[in-house]
Amino acid sequence: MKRHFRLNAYCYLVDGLSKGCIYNVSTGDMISIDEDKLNLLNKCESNIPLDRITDTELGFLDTLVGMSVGMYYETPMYVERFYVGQHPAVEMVAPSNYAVGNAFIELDTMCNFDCVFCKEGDNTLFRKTGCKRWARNEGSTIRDIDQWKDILGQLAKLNCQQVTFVGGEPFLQFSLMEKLLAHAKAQGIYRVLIYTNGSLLNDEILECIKKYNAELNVQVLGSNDDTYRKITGVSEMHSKVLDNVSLLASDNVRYTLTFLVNRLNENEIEDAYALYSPFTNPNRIRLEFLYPLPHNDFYSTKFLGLMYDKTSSFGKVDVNSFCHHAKYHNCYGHQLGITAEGDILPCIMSRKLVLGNVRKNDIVSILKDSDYEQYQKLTKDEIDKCKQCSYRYGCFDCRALEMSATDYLKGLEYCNLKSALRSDEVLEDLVSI
Amino acid sequence: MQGAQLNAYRFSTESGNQYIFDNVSGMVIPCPDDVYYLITHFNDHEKNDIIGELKTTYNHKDAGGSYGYIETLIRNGFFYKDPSKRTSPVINEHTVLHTPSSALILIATEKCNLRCKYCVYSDSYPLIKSYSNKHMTFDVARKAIDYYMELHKERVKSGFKKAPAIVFYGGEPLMELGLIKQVVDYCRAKDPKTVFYITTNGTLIDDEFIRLAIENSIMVTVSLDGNEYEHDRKRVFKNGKGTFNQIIKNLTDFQTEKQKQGLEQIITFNSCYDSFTDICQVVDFFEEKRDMFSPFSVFLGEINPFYTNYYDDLDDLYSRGLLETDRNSLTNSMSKIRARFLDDIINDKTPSSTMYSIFLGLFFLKNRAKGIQPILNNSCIPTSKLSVDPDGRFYVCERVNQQFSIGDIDRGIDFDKVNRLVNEYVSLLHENCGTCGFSRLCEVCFMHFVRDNELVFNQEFCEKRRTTIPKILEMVYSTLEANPRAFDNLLDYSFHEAYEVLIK
Repeated sequence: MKRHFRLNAYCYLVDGLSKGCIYNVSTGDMISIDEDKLNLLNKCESNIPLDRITDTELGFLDTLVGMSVGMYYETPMYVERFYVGQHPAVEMVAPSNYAVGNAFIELDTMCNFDCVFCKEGDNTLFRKTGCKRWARNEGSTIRDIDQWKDILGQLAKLNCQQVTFVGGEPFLQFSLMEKLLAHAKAQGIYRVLIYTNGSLLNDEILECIKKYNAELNVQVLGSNDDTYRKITGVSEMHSKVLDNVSLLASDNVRYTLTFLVNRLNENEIEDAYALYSPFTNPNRIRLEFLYPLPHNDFYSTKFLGLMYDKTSSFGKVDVNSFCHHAKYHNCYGHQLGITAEGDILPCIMSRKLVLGNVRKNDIVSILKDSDYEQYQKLTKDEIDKCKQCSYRYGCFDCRALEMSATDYLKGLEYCNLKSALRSDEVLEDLVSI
Repeated sequence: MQGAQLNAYRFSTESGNQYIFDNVSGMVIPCPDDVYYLITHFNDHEKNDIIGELKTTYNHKDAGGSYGYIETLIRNGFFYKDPSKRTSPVINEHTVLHTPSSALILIATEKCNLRCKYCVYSDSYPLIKSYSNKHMTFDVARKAIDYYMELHKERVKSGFKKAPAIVFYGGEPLMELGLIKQVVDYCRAKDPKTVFYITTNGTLIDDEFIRLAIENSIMVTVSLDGNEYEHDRKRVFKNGKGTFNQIIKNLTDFQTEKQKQGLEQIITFNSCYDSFTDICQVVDFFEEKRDMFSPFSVFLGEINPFYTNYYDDLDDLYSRGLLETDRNSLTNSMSKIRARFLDDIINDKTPSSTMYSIFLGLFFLKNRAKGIQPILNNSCIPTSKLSVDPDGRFYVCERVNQQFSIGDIDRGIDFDKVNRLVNEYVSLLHENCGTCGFSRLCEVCFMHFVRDNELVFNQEFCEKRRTTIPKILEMVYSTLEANPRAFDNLLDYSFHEAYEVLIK
């Protein structure tokens, strides 16, 4: 009865340098296994009979059966893996059409805050996607509503499902944004996300947010007015943001809070959580960081460990995300960024990867005539330090941040698994056996 | 799960292992008796009863784990579907712009200089109208191209990646070489990246066409059924004389010129077979000509056995001693060639491209799409290919070019007609294929249902597929058991361009 063991169809076994990982794409679990167990499973997956198996090994396989991860068979079987959509071999012959799932639109980079770590016109990047006062040129900033409408029209034709407004502070351009929200809806783009510092909300804006069912991502910078003033140079902003977020909650607007951890607010996370959690779903409060590279004085040394802790970025890996991550970059694969000056980027924060400009060419021509597909397919199998890591299909990659830290498209800085992969440690944060 | 019925098909491999093809997800999973018991009893038995049965009858130590395995699959939508639920697809302007392929097929003429025995215009297919003298004027072609190019431009704006494609079809399109030249010039001026395809019987390939084909990288498909005997018994001039020698002479000129210019311009062959064909000889013929034809690929296809007296005529010829082979030739030779092919891929040897093209279906079955089934299954979305007849009427396909017009060059696509056709087609699928355990593997499309001036479910085709699909499943999974990588790396690049137009 127990001559052969095979992982079930919804489980992928991924090899690493000294560890393996079973991805159960039906539950989303990643199961970390050591080298011996990886070797055993590799033999099982090659249909090698379980003739000389030890009791310990058998116990391990029994555990996997109990977890509905594998089955015993009497004879060698062929077990194919579950995927969705076209098989990659066929896709090579018949490539799918261009499609932009999510378009990040930056109407301007101006902001009503003057954050100490975000000097106007300084293009040094040490944070993930969010606001940034990128260098701007008023003369080439797109102010023409018809031009933005045309861009939205082009995106809608590319099956765009969501537009995400970023800045600067997007609500400084509320009048323009409101018109674009109406146009996006008319074009069939129904999902809208707006990154904001939360300070400018008023009745008119709230009505508009509700009308277009927009979701907000509010960045929180501290737990009191003093810290806010030190960071932003503006008084009483904590109170303002807190009031505005409570308004969002009472108006049933969907929102997420991002606490941007830095040296000036690193001791206020718990306080901020205590202030916001009474009216905010705790699952929708998350931490983001200012990172140490390129060298700066603003990152929190206290949370340096967390910045390098890749396991905290591990999410549930269902069949769609596994298949997507195996073929495409987690962000570049399905999104585009459009700057205030019309530059098209694979990510709004990847300012060095300009694909073209919408004032000169239409979006499709830009995608066709640039390195877009190369970026789109920049999976972890292409990233030097990730390609031998067994967790590569489950962890989030912020290429903009990594590229800025290493000055290399395929570089990697923020990962503590580089050393873990060469040791025998088993990651505790994973479901481990 | 109320109303849901099992929609799957259990099959065995040569080793006796059992698997189940899940028609809902497109997956195949191992399915020994205990797993099959679980799947079939999951919806109408209590969990404890099933686990108890697994322990007692199937001697399961960890029945809970096995139950969890199947429960996970069923909760993820495997195996069961409600056959009464149906979706009604609507083809509209949006659908038309997001098709996976885009081609304009110009029926340049309905005239032909040959009288092939199996031609759909011949007396062998009494339900289809006969040859005509109609040919396309440039005015009609121009209007069709204008319409298509505008449509294509919109498709490109909607993310379509490939260049516009113009296909010359007939009758014999080279009887209208003048039109072809005009069309090529006109399209080149409109979009220099336009790609051209032509399907020809090869007898009229001359220096003028060779120049045109080379200058414009026209992808030429020649109908060539194999060696002289095999080809000439089917493909003949009006006077009954075989066409083989003429075609080989023309092809020699064409290939020599390409080689002289150092061009790697692929040529493809359509090769049709019937039950009297010795397929080994066909394969050997193309392989012997490799130096002359290369780079090339061959598409082998069975001569349509439905609504025809072609096969009766063959029997008649055989009974009169006029055929060298017998009606078992195909079956016997196919077994031999299949054994050779499978032996090659199991042992990691690359089979000849000709052999591979015969068994291309195995590759596509192994690498089939999984997950949500497209509404029209394996049929192409109407309007992705737009076929135009000499009168300027649009059809869904060059093979359905006499019935079911879906618009014309003056008024464009008629969405009412398109949707009537689609709904009629989907109704037939729903009524006849709703409970089939492997319908998503069936290549049925519009052309199989066309009869007189209506769509009719093709029972003969269905019965044939019901026999062959299980055999193919058995063959593919037996092969994969012997070598899980058997089908990897089979597509070499030379195939890709040729397949682009074929994949729907």
